[in-house]
Amino acid sequence: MLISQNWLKKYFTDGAEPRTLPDAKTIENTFTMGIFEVEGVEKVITGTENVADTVFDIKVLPDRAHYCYSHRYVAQELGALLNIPATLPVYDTAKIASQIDGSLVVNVNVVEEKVGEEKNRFVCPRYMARRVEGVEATASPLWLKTALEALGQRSINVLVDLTNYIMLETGQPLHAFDADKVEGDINVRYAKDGEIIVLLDGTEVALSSDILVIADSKDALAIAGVKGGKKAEVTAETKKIIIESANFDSVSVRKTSQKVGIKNESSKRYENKVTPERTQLAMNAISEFIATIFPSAKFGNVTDVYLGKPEAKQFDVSVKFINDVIGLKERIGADKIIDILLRCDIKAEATSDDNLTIHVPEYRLDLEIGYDIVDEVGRILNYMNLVPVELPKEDNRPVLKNFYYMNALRKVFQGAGFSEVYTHSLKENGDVEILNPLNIERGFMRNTIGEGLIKNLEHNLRYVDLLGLDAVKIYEVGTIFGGKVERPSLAFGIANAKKVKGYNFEAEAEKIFNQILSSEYFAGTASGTSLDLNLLKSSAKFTESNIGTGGVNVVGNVCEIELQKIIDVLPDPKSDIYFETPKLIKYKKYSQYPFMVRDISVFVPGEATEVEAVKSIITKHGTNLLNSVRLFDVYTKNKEGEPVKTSYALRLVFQSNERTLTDDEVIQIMQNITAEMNGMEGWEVR
Amino acid sequence: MTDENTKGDSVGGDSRLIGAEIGHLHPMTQTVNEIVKIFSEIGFQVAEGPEIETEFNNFDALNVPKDHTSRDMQDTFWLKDAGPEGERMLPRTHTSPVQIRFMQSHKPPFRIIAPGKVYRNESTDATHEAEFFQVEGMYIDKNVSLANLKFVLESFIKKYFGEETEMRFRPSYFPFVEPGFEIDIRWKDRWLEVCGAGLVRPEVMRTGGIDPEEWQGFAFGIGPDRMVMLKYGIDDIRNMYSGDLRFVNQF
Repeated sequence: MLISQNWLKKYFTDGAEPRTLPDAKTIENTFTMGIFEVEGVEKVITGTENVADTVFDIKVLPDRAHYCYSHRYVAQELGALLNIPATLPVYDTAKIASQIDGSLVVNVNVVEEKVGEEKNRFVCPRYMARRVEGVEATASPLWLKTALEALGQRSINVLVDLTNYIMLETGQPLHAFDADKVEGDINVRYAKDGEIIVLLDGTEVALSSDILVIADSKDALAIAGVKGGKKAEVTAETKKIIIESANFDSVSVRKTSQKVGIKNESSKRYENKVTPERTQLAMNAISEFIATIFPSAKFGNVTDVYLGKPEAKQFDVSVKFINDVIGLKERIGADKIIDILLRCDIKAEATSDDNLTIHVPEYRLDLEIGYDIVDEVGRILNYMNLVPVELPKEDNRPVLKNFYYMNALRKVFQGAGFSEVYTHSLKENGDVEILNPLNIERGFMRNTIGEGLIKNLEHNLRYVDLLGLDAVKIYEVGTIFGGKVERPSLAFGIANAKKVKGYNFEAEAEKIFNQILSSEYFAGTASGTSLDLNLLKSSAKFTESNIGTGGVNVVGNVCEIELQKIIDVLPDPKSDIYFETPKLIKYKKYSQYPFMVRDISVFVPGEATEVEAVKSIITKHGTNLLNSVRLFDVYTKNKEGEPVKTSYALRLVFQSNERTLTDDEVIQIMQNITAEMNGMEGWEVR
Repeated sequence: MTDENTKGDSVGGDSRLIGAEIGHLHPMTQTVNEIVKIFSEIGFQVAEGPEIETEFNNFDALNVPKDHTSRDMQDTFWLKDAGPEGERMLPRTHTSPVQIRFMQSHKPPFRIIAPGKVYRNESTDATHEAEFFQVEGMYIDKNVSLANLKFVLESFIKKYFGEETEMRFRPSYFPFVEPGFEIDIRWKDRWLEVCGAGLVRPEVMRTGGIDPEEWQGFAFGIGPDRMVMLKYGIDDIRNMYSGDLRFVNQF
């Protein structure tokens, strides 16, 4: 909701003493820390007179949306937080008593609907209408134009603008019909199936019998609470209007708004519930503004069909409860609480030593229980001032078995040199289908982790040189979804960058199973339980896939284990497993550009002690294009009669963060490295 | 001879050129476990719940009524097939249903911490993923106060982000708590929300089978994705679930 600072000021200048509001920064901070997050603050200049204003974009949350989609009540809240009371305008209807004979006939034909277990509720709790003659849809006065434009609203004509202005002031949507175009009575009824309404913007909407409309004796004039129709549109020719100030049920408006696909300022307010009491305020307000702008305007009686008048609410809350629940070390008494609540426009009465009776203002639909009062008192006291209180000691802390053993397995796989990955649970196939998926690639809940890991092996295989790996070894612990059950699963996979002679994945997997069985988390337990190699093997499923690209023959192997089978036979653990708190590293964003690989081998005199020297020459010339250096082979030649020398073979990976490298620049770097190495006493690049 | 398997050594990093092959733990695992550890020190036990939930547990039980605007706060995926009793099923939009399940199956007092995956029907970009993690916390006891809640979250944030971390508690709204808060930390020049919390509403307790006249409680939800991203300077949440070792092997 956009809130204008100039508009807010009006609530603090009326009355006996004008009060100064603090600057925009303080207002922003007061909103944020006391009631609503401020999502934006914008300085605007509007109107022909270049009026400067500051507009706050406040995030009105659902609990306060029923009253705070209005400048009036936002000003009330701001005043409460700043302890500078706002003066909310009282609209005087005495001077605009009825001057037109005869009443407008309003028939609210469809009044209630049973909603679930709830009591019958009124879909149109209140409908208020009034005829006004002697008006004109002229351009708005400057103040009105400026007020609307500051909030990004387009000025249309004074009559329409006033309905918008009053809505932004009070939170009550209003509508104006051209009275000359209304044939007969006003009827609030459900539409007929297939009935057509042409909306103000010219679009045609086919209605259905669950959509509430405002109609005259012949046609639908508006979709109730959502949008006005063309038939009784206020135009340049309009001389007489019917003002509607009505209340519609939140669920009914929400359903209609979704059905016809129209969401606007009016539907938004009704969806969040508006008290039917407020229609009077808005009707009085617009009457007063019209009387001021059109001194010769004549007003009819206000027709008020009020079916769903809410009862005045009150409830009790104890002073002790408020103190206890906030956890105040310095207790506050009834007087202080009454004072705080009064700032919030809530009357509280001390009805006994410890008891307060809360009289809920008619516009506050959210105040129902003691906790709601705690919220009001707490935020006015400011949570930043609240002194934290430690919890009582708790030593009895059961350990969750699944969580423990999943971490135990992570420890084993970490020790075995595997990298843990998290892949998506939403996949392109599975047993559990999503009704409304983001896209077809993510239309199901996965029924295997392994399938995803195969793709992941293939992906990572492209980067083995960059990563300095001979093989991609990954695993994932997560949930899989089959039929009506979900269950924990663990899958691990290996893809060797180069074919390894005699490689047997199942034998590799068995090695890992043995590591599990002999690890400290399982060793003590395996003997006393039925967890053994056979159970691990029988819970495992192996998959092999060709994942080579460009004619290269590479396989990826995956093993998926039914985790629950394993965990079920294990004993209850006594304490959780923790990982070392990771040292604070700074993540380096990896480059999106291709990398180049170069190998270099060099003979250096002596035993294998010169690794650092070799490396330092490489990094010296490598420039910032050198991504990594990896020693992949070392051997020492120790032949009788010959000086001892050692060969180092290194793999260099070059990559830029900004561009694709050229051959020439890498060749140059390699030449520089080779030249310096060959210049060293007894060194020889091979 | 070929030496032991070696790890690619990033230039300028630690200078291990030939190292034993070591595995890498995903930063989400590290973070979730770090969070759990901090809370376990003040007596919180780990709890869990299913990722596929009933509409009732995910919404109604948590005071998010049907046809209410508060349901719009979370974009929901729905499953095509109904549950065993014809109820609508969904991949949970938050870990809060664990509160309901735990209350229904345990007697207070208790303190739980429940990490898990959640799903939102949101287009993905650098700061949004359709699946991510949450850590739910709940404490039910006699005489639980907002001051207790503030103590717990303040000490958690200090332990995770550092003693000097500037933070603020500001009023917010979650349907299942009253009052509700959000906790922001000062990060570089901005305030960033890391946690939502509040006192458990009496009707939510009643649905959990706990008498709100006798017991009070607080609940909170932490977004570990954001915590990981802040701590390590990760600028794209999609990295977390890419399975790309160029990402994972940095940790």
